[in-house]
Order: sequence, then structure tokens, then C-alpha cells
Amino acid sequence: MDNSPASRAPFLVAKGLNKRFGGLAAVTAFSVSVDEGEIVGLIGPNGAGKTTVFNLLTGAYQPDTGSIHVAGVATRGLKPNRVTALGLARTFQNIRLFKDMTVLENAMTGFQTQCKSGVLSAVLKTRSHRDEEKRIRSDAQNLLELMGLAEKSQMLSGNLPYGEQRKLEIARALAAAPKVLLLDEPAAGMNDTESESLRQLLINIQTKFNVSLLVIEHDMAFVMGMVDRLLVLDHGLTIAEGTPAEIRSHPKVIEAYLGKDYAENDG
Amino acid sequence: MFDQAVAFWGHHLIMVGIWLTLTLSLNLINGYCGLFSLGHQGFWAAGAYAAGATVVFLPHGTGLNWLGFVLSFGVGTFVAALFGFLVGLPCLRLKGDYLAIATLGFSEILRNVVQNCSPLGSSLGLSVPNVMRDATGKIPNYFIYIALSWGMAGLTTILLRNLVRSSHGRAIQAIRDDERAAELLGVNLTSYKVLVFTSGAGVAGLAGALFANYNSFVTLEDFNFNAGVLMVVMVVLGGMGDLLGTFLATITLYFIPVLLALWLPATRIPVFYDPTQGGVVYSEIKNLWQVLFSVLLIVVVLVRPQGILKGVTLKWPKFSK
Repeated sequence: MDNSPASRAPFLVAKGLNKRFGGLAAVTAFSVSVDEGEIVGLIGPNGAGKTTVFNLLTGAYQPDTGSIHVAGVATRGLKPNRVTALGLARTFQNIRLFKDMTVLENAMTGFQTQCKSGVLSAVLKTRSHRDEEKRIRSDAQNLLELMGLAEKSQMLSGNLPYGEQRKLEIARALAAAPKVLLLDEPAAGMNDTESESLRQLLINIQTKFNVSLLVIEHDMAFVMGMVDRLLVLDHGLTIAEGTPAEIRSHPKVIEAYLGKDYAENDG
Repeated sequence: MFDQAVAFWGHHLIMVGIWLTLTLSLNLINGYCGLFSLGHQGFWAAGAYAAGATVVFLPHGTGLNWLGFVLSFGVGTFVAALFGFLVGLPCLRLKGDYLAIATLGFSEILRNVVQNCSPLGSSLGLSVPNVMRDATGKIPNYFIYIALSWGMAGLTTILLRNLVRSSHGRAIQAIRDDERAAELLGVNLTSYKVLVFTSGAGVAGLAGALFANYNSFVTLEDFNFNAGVLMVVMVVLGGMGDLLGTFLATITLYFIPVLLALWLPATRIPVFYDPTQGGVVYSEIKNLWQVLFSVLLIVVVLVRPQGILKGVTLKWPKFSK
């Protein structure tokens, strides 16, 4: 691989991110770096600011202060589509598929950053455009195959069962050829068997595509069994960072998860 | 008798081709991209007046302005596309109803400007001396105009179909379904929205240019709010983002009033009671076609709100290579 200094720096580096919504400090002094091939977990109770972190990293929100570098490029102020082109893709907690499109079309839309042919050649259906479409179609078909959705490629995506909609979202995000894939609660709403197979799939994807994963998850068993490192957020603050073993015994994490909130919810 | 039939049906065939071009281009904006424009009649008018002005004002000898005629199509398209660009750029921050109001506002502003612009004939209308007519200069060559208008509609269909089935078309439909997800997949929202607005408006302008040349007269009444609403109704009933549906809805909705006015009897029936007009007021059934038309629209919207053809599997014939 390339050994130049630039490529040695972690692919995704965020430092000191702050975001306030009016009086609410959604994220405070958040820093993260994701290196090539890493799987990093981001956990925390509801409302801890996990999804806000994703929105900041992808450029959907602009941080009040702090810096983000993707592939060595400062992305603060860049639009989300530019950040995606640098190699960052994400899925959503509340599934955001294009529901009026078929499964295949959804996957093909993921290749947007790799479409080079212009509008005119699309309208006139030039040879280069048709070749590009053919390539994208077969690449998309391969991705669907990998996710086990190949047989449903002509279905409307809105008609897929919930678990498969999540998988399609992952396929669509992978289509953008990201170096870091942000997954927002990929196992939400899945039973144990389904989430176990999803975990295997994600680990396969990580090696196959050499893509780093940053995973938000509530399901502890799911996330602990796959990540190299974990960050724990509570009320926008990073209260702990470390390996799964370290996090399990971290007093602040136990308080955040099992302390007051837990007692109140169960009481 | 034959000439009359040619004039009657020829006129309507030409107008249907123009309307098809309008609804197809509006479908790109409203149906495929999900931008709710209520100002398409404004782009139509811009194209018609720009084309008319080209024919009228382009210097020419004593004869007919052939050069003006040919150029007017390009000018009409360009001017309307330019308006689409200028309107689109600031309006793209708006969504849904707000965008609809802004685009409607644009077309009303345009109407008012033309109304007060004497070189364009103000509210009296602009007379466009035209080629493609018989020796008297009064009767247009219907067959040529039918070919032009349906050629235009056909070309629009093919190009639009190519566009929506390409990577760009997927980006446009992704914006409609989920703007934020689309942007996070690398879709540049601004440039696609501007593209959609500009090209949709340009095609409407082309339709306007043909209308001005064929009709050899343009007045603001041709491009009023009702025309804009009718276009939207055609697109919605045809199914947003459905080309075949747009075809059927446009042809049906265009011809219903024509046929109703043609076939309904002239029998007078009581319609309402108004003491100030001396009691019961009568009207010919013939003149009540608008009422029937509205009832029909209400029924369709109640029965098939998703569009007449939406969900029905009807495929374009395949011209595979």
C-alpha cells in the first residue's frame, strides 16, 4: 500500500466537535479517528448525541467549532454530497430508502459518485453512457447478491420486509465505495438470529471491501462482539473510550446505562 | 365541409401535441423531481412571447419572416429556460406549497409585465405574422403543424424517457423520494434542481414558440392560471413520474371539454334560482360542460388519487436494439 505520510494519518479524523441546538448542547468536545480497516462502536443512551455525531461527520449539520478531516481534506463547510465523494457513506436509523424505486434502482442510485457521463450523453443515450449504465447495473446486482437481495431486485423497496430494507440501505451505501461506512443502528428491530447474521455480514464486508465501520448500536451483544474500539456518549459528552472489555467495567458507563436512567425507566 | 373538419380536428390535434409537451415537461419538475411548480404557464408564455417577438421584430424584407420563424423556436426555448434558471435558483430553498406559491407568483408577475409592455401588445395580444399558411394568410397549414407539434411531443417523450432512466434520472427521483438521503449518496441537490427547472421550462418555451407560430396570435388569456392548474391536474391524474399516464391523462382531459361542447344538446334546463334575474335561470346543457368536467375531476380524484394508471402494469412497447 501507499506509505506516504498523508495516507498514514487515519482516514477519518474529527477533533473537538461542538454542536448546540439553541440551549441544548447536543455534542460537546467530541473527537474520533477511524483508521483503515477498523471497526469502531459508538454507544450511549437515547438522546446522547450519537446520530448528531453522524450528521456532523457527513456534513448534514455544521459543527459550531471543531475540525473534521476525511482523507486528509478538511470537510467543515462542505456539502454532504462532497463529503460522500471523499469516501464517507452512511445508513440511517429511520430507514431512508427511495420507496418509489425498485430495489435494484436504489442500489444503482448509490453509485452516483461514480457516474461520469453527462446529462447530454444520458439524454442522447450515447454508447459511453450505455456502457456506464450496464456496468453500474451489474455492480449493483453483485452488491444485492452479497446482501442476499438479488431475487428481490425488481420489487419496490418499500415492500421489502424491515430487516431487508436495512440490508438494502447498507448495499446502497456500499455502492458509493466508501472508505468509512457509518452505520446508524443497523440491527434495530432485528431478532437475535437476524442480528447475528448481520454481524457476520458486516465483518465480511469490512474485509471484502477493506472499509472501516463506525457503528451506532443499542444492542450491546451485537456491538461488543464486532468492534475493535468503543466510544460511549452521554448527554453529548464522551464519557469513555476503549476496548469492549474496558468499556464493560468502566464505572461511568455502568452509571449511564444501569444507573439513574435504568432505575427510573424500570421503576 | 371537409375543410371545416380539417380546421376543427386539425386545431385540436395541434393543441394536444402542445399540451403533451407542456405536461411532459411539467412531469419532469413535479412528477420526477417532486418540485411542486404552479408556474408552468409562465414559462409557456415566456416562450410564446419571445418567439412571437422574434418573428415580429427580427428585421426582414417585405416577405414573410422565414428566418424569424426558424429562429423563434430556439429563442422561445432559450428565453423560457433562462426564466426557469432565474426563477429556479432562488426558489430552490423553498419546498412544497411555498415553492408552488413562488412559481405562481413568477407567472403572475410575468403576466403583469407583458400586460404593461406595449411592444408586446399589452393586454390586446401580439399578432405574429406567420409562414406555413395559405395564400390568404389566414388558414395555417394544419398538416405541417400537426407534424411539428406531435414531433415535438414525441421527441420530448423520448429524450425525457432517456433522462429519467439514466443515472441522472435516478438522482432526480432520489431527490423526490428523500432529499437528504440523496445528498448523502453524493447527489448535488442544487445543480439537479436547477437542471430540472431550466430544462422543464425550456421545453415549455418550445411549446410556447410553436403555439405562437401556429396560432399567429398570442394573448395573456392563453396562459392564465386555469391553464397552469389544468397542466398540474393532468400530471397528477396521469400519475406523478409516469410518462404513459401523462399521455393518456393529457389527451383525455384535453378532449373531454371539446367533446362535451360538441355533443351535449342545446336543450335549455333550469340551473338556479335568482330573484334579481327574474326567478329561475335557464342554461343550455351545452354550456354546462365545465360543471360536468369538474364533477368528473372530483370523481377521479376520489376514486384514484394516486393517478389513473399508477400501479397498473402497462409497459411501453420495447424498441430494443
